[in-house]
Amino acid sequence: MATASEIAVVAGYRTPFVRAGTAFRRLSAVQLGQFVTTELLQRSGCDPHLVDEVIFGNIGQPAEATNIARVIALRSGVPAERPAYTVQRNCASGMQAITSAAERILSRRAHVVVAGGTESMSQIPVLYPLAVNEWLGSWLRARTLAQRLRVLGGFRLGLLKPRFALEIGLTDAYAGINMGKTAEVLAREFGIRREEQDTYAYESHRRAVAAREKLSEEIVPVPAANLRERIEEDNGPRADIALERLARMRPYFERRWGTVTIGNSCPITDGAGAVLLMHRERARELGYEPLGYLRGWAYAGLEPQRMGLGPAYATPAALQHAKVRMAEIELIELNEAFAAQVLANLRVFERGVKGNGKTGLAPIGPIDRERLNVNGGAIALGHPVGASGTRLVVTLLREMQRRDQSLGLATLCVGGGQGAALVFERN
Amino acid sequence: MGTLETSVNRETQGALRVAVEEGIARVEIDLPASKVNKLTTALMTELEAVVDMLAGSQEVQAVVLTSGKPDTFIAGADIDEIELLDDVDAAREKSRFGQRVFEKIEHLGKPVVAAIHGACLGGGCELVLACHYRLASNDAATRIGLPEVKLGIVPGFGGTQRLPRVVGLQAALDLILTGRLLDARRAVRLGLVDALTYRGLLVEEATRTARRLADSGRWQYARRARKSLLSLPGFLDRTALGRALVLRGARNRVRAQTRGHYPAPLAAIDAVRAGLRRGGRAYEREADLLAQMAMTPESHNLVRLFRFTENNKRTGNDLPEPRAIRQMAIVGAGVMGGGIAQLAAYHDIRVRLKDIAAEQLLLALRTADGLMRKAVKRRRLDAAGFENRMAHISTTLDYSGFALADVVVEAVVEKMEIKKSVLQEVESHVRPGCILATNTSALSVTEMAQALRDPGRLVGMHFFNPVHRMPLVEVVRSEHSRPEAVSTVVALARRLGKTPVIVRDAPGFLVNRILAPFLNESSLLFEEGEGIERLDAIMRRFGMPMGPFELIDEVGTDVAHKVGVTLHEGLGERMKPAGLAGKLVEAGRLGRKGNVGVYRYVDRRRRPDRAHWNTLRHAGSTRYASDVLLDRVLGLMINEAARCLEEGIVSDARELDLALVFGIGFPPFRGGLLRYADERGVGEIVARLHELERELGPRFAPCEMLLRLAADAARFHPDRPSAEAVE
Repeated sequence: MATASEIAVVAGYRTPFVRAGTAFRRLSAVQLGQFVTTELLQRSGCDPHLVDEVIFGNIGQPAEATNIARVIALRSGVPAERPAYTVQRNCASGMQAITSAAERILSRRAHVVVAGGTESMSQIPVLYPLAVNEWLGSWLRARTLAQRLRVLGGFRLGLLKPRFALEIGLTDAYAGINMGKTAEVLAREFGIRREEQDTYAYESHRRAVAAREKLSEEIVPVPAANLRERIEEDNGPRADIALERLARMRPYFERRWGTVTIGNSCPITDGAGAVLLMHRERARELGYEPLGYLRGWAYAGLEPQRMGLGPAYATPAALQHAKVRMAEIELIELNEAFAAQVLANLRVFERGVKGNGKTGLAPIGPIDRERLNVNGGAIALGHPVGASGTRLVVTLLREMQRRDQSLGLATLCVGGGQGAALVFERN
Repeated sequence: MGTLETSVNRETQGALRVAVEEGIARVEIDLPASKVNKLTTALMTELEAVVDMLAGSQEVQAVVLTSGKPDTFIAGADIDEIELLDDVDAAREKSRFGQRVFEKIEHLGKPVVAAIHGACLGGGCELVLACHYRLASNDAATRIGLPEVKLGIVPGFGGTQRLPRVVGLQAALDLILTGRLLDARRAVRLGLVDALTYRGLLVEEATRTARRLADSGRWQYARRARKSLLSLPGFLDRTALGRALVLRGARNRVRAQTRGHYPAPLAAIDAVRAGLRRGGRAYEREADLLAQMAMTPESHNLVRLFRFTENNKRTGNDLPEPRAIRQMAIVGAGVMGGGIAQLAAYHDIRVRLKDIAAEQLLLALRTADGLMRKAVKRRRLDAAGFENRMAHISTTLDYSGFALADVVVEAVVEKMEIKKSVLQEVESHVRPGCILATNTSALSVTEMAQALRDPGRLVGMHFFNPVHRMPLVEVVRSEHSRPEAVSTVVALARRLGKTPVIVRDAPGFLVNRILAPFLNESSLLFEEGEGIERLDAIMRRFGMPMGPFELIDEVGTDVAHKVGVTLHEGLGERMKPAGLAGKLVEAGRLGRKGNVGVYRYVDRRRRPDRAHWNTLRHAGSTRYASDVLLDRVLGLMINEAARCLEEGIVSDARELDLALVFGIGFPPFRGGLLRYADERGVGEIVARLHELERELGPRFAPCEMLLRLAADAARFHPDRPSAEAVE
């Protein structure tokens, strides 16, 4: 598709991905986004005054930065007169930012756009029950002593019961089940055994550890909140990963019959990533040699309970949009929310899936593990939900460059029952 | 606008416009042909006439006082007039006149509401104190205070009398004695201002207030600080014993802080005290004290210095437009580089900070973080401002981002070869128009420039330590520096809130070169047998913020030694260093940073180290008269300063004196080193130098310029600075 290849990815970086509650727990999503944006612009030598728009994906949407992209843009030196907006498509937010930017550029509304994703899962707040709003409201309205006493009398300890927004966010609002349970749904549907999942997870860690040096090229070091150290690498991948240890872990989401454990799922993580997108012409004018070009993309929907299968649904559409066949794709980044979910996708790619009352899919061809997540994936690196989409694109393009490959695919599953898939080319 | 009563409405050539509408007279102060409002005699005369007219008007029920200038209410008295006061009687008369006009306002018989936006200083503040209600804009431009003591005088239009009544004795003394200014928020909290409103609503709101006061008839009882007798502030303000305690405390604090060098704060306390006595002639006392203070040399010198700073604002005006600075880069995240990065970020400049060690970068970030948090604590920054400014600093181990810099400041270690190679590296990473600045205290900028492909882009930028506190920056123009590069660095220094003085590239530039004899001659005196503590004490008594040996420890004996050697090499025998600094370096006594130098430092307190001192010299002990010591040290400094003028190191004596006051804290009340020479008489200085030359050798030989000035009985500065103010 000729028009889509007009979008050049000039540069891309990300922060280290760090397990929630550890090194980044005191850094806000704004700060993470600002660090990576500043470094992106500085390292690529792009004057912030050239940037026409900033688009960021973010899921947590912190109260203190309601349009987080705008705050990031201003703090990174992008002039106040350039607009910025935030996108939210759950786990695909970091990809949505990129495709939204592409649409802006294709429609000639912007020539240079910073797109990215940022997430501080550490700082997703703890909430009071909704009833507290009402109770506080009536307290503020109470004028007389009698009224106040009546309101006070209405106080119940239950009002102080915390609600963890993170836990709530990871539960599907429509299907009513936790994300981990959606992985169990797929494990059962496709008969994916526990050992297979653990082995996949083991391999993810092994690859991520082996790729440390390569990954460091895409990582910008971030000063810790106390400014006493620079965080330079992902702290998820474990060099001492052992299959026996993985096997000993208890299923987390379904205690009795489940197969999905903390070990074969991605950890809750903090991080951010950003790419510099330009129209091909603009990049050439400015003398850039882009990492690659966005050739096509697609989003697709499916049953929320089977959300993990999103890549299998979005990929055929994206391939069609890009006018390429699966067999031509040389390298794939497929987000590892859960090992069960990745394996389920691989089966569908190879064999298709029958209707059975659900949407059916034809096979599009098997995926060789040697071209899938070659530097490890989210099970080892972690999944800062709003940022992962951008990370997949950055990791994919940089590895395509190392291998001098020309077609690649970045795809992920999206909570709520969606899939996203982006096709990139180099030439 | 009401035109009912043409005798009151004024559209004059003068400074005051009066318009009456529905009984409220709006008096707008707008001094013609001036950017700001100043209380000139002409304006005060006009004000008196207007006040008389308002008093006599049947129609006018209340008055609103406002300014026609964008960001000043009234900036104070007219400095030109203060300078021209040459006898006590004239000064007293001026003060009495002002008091009379303001008293007429206070006793107008109708409420007067001041609508304050912008600077409301000195006489302006005294004017609003005489009003019955003060409404101010809650705008950053609004600043209120009585900074008279900074010019060596006291408030003379009733400020010492009315301020204590309005804000209470303690707060009033604090404001008058420090001369510090209040922002709108602090002013209202203290009660100096009755209420705040938005700038755009100011006049409207003031008019409404005037109406309300006039209608209610309760305005006579202007707000007074009425603190409970039982509270501590109330006790201190409202009982004779409390007031006596407060005054004594203030006097002691002033004595301790000024070491007796500044008479004005003590005079101000006197004036305030006079107002606390019943039936005293307090306003007369205030006028007397103002008149006395205006005649003191301290005041003349402080006023001169103020002039020098005003004059400095024109520095670089003859140069081409500076480059716009959106981003700067700094190489070297040490104490200086880190300090400069903090300063730049604080002043809203994006900074790319590079070092070869990640540890240094973190240290610089921590320092910046600490200073910015302090600013938050002092309410200079809010939480968002803090985050925004910290986000301005990004750090790097390579030269990434340097391509975006408009200016690069190099702040690596003081070694010529290293600086040259770093500057060459920098040059290969920046874009063509990028200006380079080197932060050096002693190395030749010209030599450094020769290492560059484009030598014209390099300028020296000598900051003083600690960067965030010292106001001076020497902008060093090398033989190659392009005018645009110089003007850009001057503009950068200003944006960082510093005072730039342009100097020519020669060993020690200006300030360190003149400072050298201060340290060196003191060291020689020590070696002859003088006491270290005595020398330090004498210099401090002269007014220096630190004695020579304290200063050596502060800058580091190694640095002092190196600068001494450089100057000796560059300027010859007269700069031959004494042995002291070298010996201390050899003994590993590097100064305060290592807790031992000339002195020892125990728990950050300075302690003598006589045992070590005795090992540093052979001579027994001597004890010259203190004026001999001062003449040797200051004589050499004056001689060196004259050479700097002679060699064109700096444009003129004003810039030189300003640089010494801002760079080494040369006592402001003395008005600068050359001003001190003028006061002593250049002839006398030359005579003393000749004597010392015969006695101690050629380093005291007075330079050409001194000899010429002495022969012509001339001075460095014109006698009456007002002569130069005429432009």
